[in-house]
Amino acid sequence: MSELLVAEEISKVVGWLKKETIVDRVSIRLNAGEIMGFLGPNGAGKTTTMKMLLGLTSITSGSARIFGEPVPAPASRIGVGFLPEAIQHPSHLSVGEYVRFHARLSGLLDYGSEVEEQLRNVEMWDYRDRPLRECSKGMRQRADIARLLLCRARLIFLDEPFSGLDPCGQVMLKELLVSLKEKNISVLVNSHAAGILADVCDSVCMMNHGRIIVSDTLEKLLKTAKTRVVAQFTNASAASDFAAKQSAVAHRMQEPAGIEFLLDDSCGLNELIKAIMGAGGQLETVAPVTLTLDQLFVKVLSGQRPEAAGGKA
Amino acid sequence: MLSRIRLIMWDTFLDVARHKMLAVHLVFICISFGLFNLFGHFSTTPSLEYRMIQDVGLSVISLFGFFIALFIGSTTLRDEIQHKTIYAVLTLPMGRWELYTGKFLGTLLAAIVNVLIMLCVLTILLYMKFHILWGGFQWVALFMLLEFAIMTGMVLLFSLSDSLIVCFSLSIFCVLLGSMAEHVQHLAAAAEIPLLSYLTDVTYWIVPNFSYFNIKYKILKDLTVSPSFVLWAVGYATCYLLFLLAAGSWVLKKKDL
Repeated sequence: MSELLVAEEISKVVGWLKKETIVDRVSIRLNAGEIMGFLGPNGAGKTTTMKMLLGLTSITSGSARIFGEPVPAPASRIGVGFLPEAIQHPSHLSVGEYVRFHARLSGLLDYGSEVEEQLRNVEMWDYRDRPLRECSKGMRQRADIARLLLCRARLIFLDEPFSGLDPCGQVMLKELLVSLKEKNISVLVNSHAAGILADVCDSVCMMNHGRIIVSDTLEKLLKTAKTRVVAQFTNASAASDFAAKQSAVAHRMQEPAGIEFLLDDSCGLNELIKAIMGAGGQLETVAPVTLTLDQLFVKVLSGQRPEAAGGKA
Repeated sequence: MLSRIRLIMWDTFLDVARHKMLAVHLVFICISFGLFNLFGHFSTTPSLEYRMIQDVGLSVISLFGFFIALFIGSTTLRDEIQHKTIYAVLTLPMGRWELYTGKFLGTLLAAIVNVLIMLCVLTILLYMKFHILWGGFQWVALFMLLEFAIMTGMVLLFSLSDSLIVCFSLSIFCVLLGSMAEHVQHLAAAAEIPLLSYLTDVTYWIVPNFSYFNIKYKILKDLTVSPSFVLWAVGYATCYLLFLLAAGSWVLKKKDL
């Protein structure tokens, strides 16, 4: 896959007398059609990193390239779109005027039919004449997505797009993100909504104190070395007898005649399965244990290794 | 590039026009009507009444023009930054100077239209009451427009500072000093302490000299305005506006948003 965005150890230092590093040697790589989630507590440096990549804030050290062009050259922003957090849209413009204004700023000459197409894509065509000040936050977000699509963005930066949205708005935005991915548009999304990010992201970057502490594909991050095995026995006494024999393996009894085993790694899995079958038990589940993104986030921030954590199958 | 600047300029003008100008005009028109009735009672002759209304009217326009420049200049770009709408524009493949130039021209246009409307209102009211067309209107309009264009450009530049108080303080300071530029020059010449003399001299050359645009006394005394005086004022204003535009573009380029 081609890399649209490459950031090499970019840092941001602020302050005149007292220097403070708010982004510390952050490296990011984003491929075409990839959705990357940026997670971290408030003040972790996520938004500043985005601003640096967009040329809104200067990079103190390190370098970044977007579409092969060095940041912050204007050429690096061709095909790039940004939806800032808590943007207050121009109150004097309607939805249609706002989208058309940005289309013209982007240099699009014949945008008439495209405006309609993109507004229909985000279900905002019927509201095109409504002033932005009278639109809900969800509607304004959708108008912004239409603006970005109209400007032919191939790489979109979203800063806390889910904050302040009701559940319906969140679901709609999530679906929009998935549709962007289907169009091979890359998205870098900064959000606290870990649950939603887990549904749409391919990879996740976790930041704290200006540094990336974890960065990998979602699949790799959420996977742990543990394996969960659930077996059902004919009755409770058979289950407890079998559990007593397997006391070396961490387990938990399940009503009425089940046992849930948690193996630290896959060693011993075959033996356990054979033993269950030999004792007349039925295998219900054999699956690797994965974490939720929320769990991973908490574990990483609390300084624990994610592999050491338990989680749901 | 030019189409983007024109687009931003027009959007800025419409934004200002739709939200901020009407209330100021209404206040001005109310004050003007009040003045007409007030001076009608005090003056002894119609010509004196005409001069008094003209004099006070121009002073009111100067005052309102300054407030408009201060208001428009300090809010236009600042609001864009605070409302984060500037991010959506600056993440397009365009230079920051294009945005600043568009904003600069848009605010200048808004300030100019404001002052023109006020001058027109004053002229129409004078004509309605005295049936005399104001002879030097075009010169008053031109010089006032130049003066307020510089004021607006200056406030826009100061609005890039992080604090609104700093913006207001610098703007008021520069307008006051610029209105007394000749005195500042004399002070520089008279200062016996070399450092003070140097600083005063530097201040004189940096702050705009608004005395070049003060032709109110000429208009009130029916004096002619010489072409060389007009050329000098227009040239000075153009150079100063270009300086303000370049300085503002540079500051915005360097600013971390």
